[in-house]
Amino acid sequence: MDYWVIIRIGEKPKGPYSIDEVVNLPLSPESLVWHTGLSEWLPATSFDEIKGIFEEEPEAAEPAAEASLAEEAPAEVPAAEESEPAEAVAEEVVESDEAQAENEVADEPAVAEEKTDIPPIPVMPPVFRPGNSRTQAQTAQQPPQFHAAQQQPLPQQQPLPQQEKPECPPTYLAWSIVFTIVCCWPFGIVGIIFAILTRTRFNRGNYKGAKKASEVAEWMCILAFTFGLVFWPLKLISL
Amino acid sequence: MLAVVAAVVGVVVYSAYDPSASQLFPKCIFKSLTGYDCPGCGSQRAIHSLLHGDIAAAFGYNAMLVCSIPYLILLIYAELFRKKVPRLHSALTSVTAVLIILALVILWWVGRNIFHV
Repeated sequence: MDYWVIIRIGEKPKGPYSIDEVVNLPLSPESLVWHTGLSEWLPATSFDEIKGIFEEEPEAAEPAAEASLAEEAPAEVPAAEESEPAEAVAEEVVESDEAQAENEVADEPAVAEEKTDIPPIPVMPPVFRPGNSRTQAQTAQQPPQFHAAQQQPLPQQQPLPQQEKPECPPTYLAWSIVFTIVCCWPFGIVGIIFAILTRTRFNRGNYKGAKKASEVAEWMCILAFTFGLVFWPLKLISL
Repeated sequence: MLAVVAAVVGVVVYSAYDPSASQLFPKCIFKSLTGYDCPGCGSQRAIHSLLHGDIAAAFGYNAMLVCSIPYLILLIYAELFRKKVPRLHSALTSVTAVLIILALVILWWVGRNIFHV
């Protein structure tokens, strides 16, 4: 991987360097660094592999930069994964599925290495324009989630999401499908619809609404079951 | 628990008796009222055939029931071990997945009445 460096703002970019050469350069925390795969210049402090050399100085944490780094990672998200990010932070991730792994990293700075193998790799560093704010310069190249990520509070200051976010209430989806097929489709289909509602509301952060929809879905299953239980004896009597 | 009991009773009843030969099994209300098949029509006969190992006949009675079994098994597994397989669980119950299922059910319902499958 080639690194290019602007040691002092206003100077010309120098490079390419290897990472071993970069860490021996007279960098300051304000120095800008770019390497293949990045879309724009970032402060030297936002690179995990470089910031070690500033150890003595108080580390200027760069949450915004890290958030934007993380957002570059997901290239494609499988269709079924629409709701994945919300769920992923809500639950402990035990299994790692490669396609999804990149998707949930929004608050883990450790992604820095992952995105180096993103397909469109610029060979030369982009032009650094001191006048432009970084966010303006890069919006066009960012995936859509970028804006959402920016409005969020800084990742470092958030409490751990695992503890914060409630678990998605049960959708009773399996039951609804079973009842649709086996017993009473009107209840089953309404149950499926409320299973969808549960998930949609949960994904939007409407936890109360999700709970309500979940309860309706549960009631649909109970109704379907009762209906089945009552219906069979009735049928027997009428014979 | 209730589910397990119901499942066991169901298996016993549906493997012992043939729903198409007995008067005791409930008929579909929707079908008796409208004359059209509902998405679940034929599932009793299909379950009976499945329990006797005749997958082809089951498919003929209610194709959707047979097709949905692998998904349902996965889904039940994911519900039971949700902590262990959170990704599988959220993929199976994601809005997209459920919308696809709903669409399939409705397509199946309309399709079977048009093409008489």
